Amino acid sequence: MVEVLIGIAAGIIGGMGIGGGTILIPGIVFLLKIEQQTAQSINLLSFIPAAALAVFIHNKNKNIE
Amino acid sequence: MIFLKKRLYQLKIILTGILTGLCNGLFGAGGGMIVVPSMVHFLDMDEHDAHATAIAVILPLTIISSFIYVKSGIIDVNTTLKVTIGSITGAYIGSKLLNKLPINILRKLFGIFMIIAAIRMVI
Repeated sequence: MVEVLIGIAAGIIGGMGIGGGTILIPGIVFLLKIEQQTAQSINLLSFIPAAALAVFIHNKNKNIE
Repeated sequence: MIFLKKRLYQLKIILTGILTGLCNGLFGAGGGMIVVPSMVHFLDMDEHDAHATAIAVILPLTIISSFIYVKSGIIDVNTTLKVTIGSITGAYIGSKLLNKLPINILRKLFGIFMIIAAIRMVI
């Protein structure tokens, strides 16, 4: 459950193009006691589908130049 | 003159891209920290558009970086799946929220997150 909550928080920030990884990586490292390198891998992989959805919505809202 | 201006603009776009790629490659992250202010101040883009476009710019970089991590065997499938469920939900909320956020608040939020990222890099 903590994993999903960290994802939601990071997704909101990341979806606005502010930098979700900034909270996702420390969140995973400190709350789940996962190693930094693995946390970076989780950050990158989870960002791919999330960013794809964000780009789709932003494009629909004509925010992408 | 118009032709020259257009060329200069194209050159600025390419330079922004190179700088972003360089930072992302060197530091493993942080391309967005470069590309958002570059697009706002260098390319005179609207800030909402700059944030949205930044995601589109970072996405291919992320895919390439991910390949390297997966190839090196640094992967935690179970946690990744759980986090992804959350981040997709969050990304939906965040991208719907972006246009409703006034520029001054967006700018402050971005500033706060840049400071957090900077502190993390120093520590």
